[in-house]
Amino acid sequence: MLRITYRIIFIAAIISSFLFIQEVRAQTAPPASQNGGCTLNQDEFVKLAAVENDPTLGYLAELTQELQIRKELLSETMDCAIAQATALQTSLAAISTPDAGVKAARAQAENLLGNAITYYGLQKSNIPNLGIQGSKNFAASLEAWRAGNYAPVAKEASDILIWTGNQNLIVTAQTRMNQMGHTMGILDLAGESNLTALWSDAQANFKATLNFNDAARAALGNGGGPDEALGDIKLSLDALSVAYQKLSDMNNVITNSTSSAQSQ
Amino acid sequence: MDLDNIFKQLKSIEPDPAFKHKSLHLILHSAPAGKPTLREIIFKSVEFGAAIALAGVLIYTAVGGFSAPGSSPLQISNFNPASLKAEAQAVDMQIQLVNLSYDTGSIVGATSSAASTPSVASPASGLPVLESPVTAPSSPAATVTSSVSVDQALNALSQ
Repeated sequence: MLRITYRIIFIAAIISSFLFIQEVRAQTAPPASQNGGCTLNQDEFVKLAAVENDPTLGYLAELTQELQIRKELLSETMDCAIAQATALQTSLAAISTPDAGVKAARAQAENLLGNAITYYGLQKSNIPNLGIQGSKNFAASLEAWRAGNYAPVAKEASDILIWTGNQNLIVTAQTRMNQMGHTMGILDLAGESNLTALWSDAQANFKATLNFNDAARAALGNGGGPDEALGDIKLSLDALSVAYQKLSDMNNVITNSTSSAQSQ
Repeated sequence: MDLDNIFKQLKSIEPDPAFKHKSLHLILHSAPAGKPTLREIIFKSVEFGAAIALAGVLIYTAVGGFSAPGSSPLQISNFNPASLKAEAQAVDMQIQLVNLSYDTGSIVGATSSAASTPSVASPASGLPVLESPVTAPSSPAATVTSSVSVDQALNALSQ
């Protein structure tokens, strides 16, 4: 009998060690990738307005300075657009996901971002030939192109990045939930009605997190569109936040119980 | 036959001499009750010690000690406010990141440890609401200077 008990304890210890290793792996997720580092300073646009409204400048001087500033700003803006698209593309290439649908969506987004970068480069080469009105038309045209062509791709790419980042959070939360369930059993806390209700809420919200997360993955994989995926991602994170709130409330109940027990 | 005669006959009953001899021999020559050998003692000690140690590991893990390195084993780390809060904050930051949503590339690296804080646009700029604050000491017109997005820049340049 004693020997059987030893063996059960030994097996339980091995399982616990395995869970510990899993937790360490979850907590050592890959570091965050960096932004493109692009900055369009508002001061430059203030300078443009200042030149346009400067009464001391003659007509020709004003046109010359305004055109120069506009071309510089357009060029900087194009550089920024290229830098951001490149950063998105690089971030997409860096993520790791086992899901085939998300992988396919990532490959498509990377390809479309590459096309956008090429388009930006071609457009930028036309800037030196622009006049003032031409530069205004150029900016308006590019803005419209981005809204119709680039924005959906950037949204899709952002959704993929956010969804992938969420997986680390969900793995950590799953570990937390597993530990909490184990502790509830070990310490026989199920008899505490407050804790039981909070624990049920936490479990329900975590389940909702997983369901919405799966829905987001499906939307990304089957081309459901960036808005659909983003909606599911938001719902998933909201449910996860509520689950953590319930766990925090459980912590408060435990802390208060412990404090009152110690004071007695 | 009366009972007295029966009892007298019972007194004279004896076991078979051969069986008596064999039984006596078995009792007198049986091995003494198991005295453990040195090897058995060592094995039992190691087994018992390992079981105690592993039970300790199990209890430590059960109360979540491994999820809060450096903390007391007596502390139930599942209810450790610091680690719980850190995880909850990571979720909240991710929500902020999602709420920033599409900024044509500002969401790069979804596991970013810090989301940018929205700032107040300079009223004099005439530009729409801006994002990531950038300090610009050379600006005399605004106390807070910000960067603008690509779309905001294009919109401003189209006018």
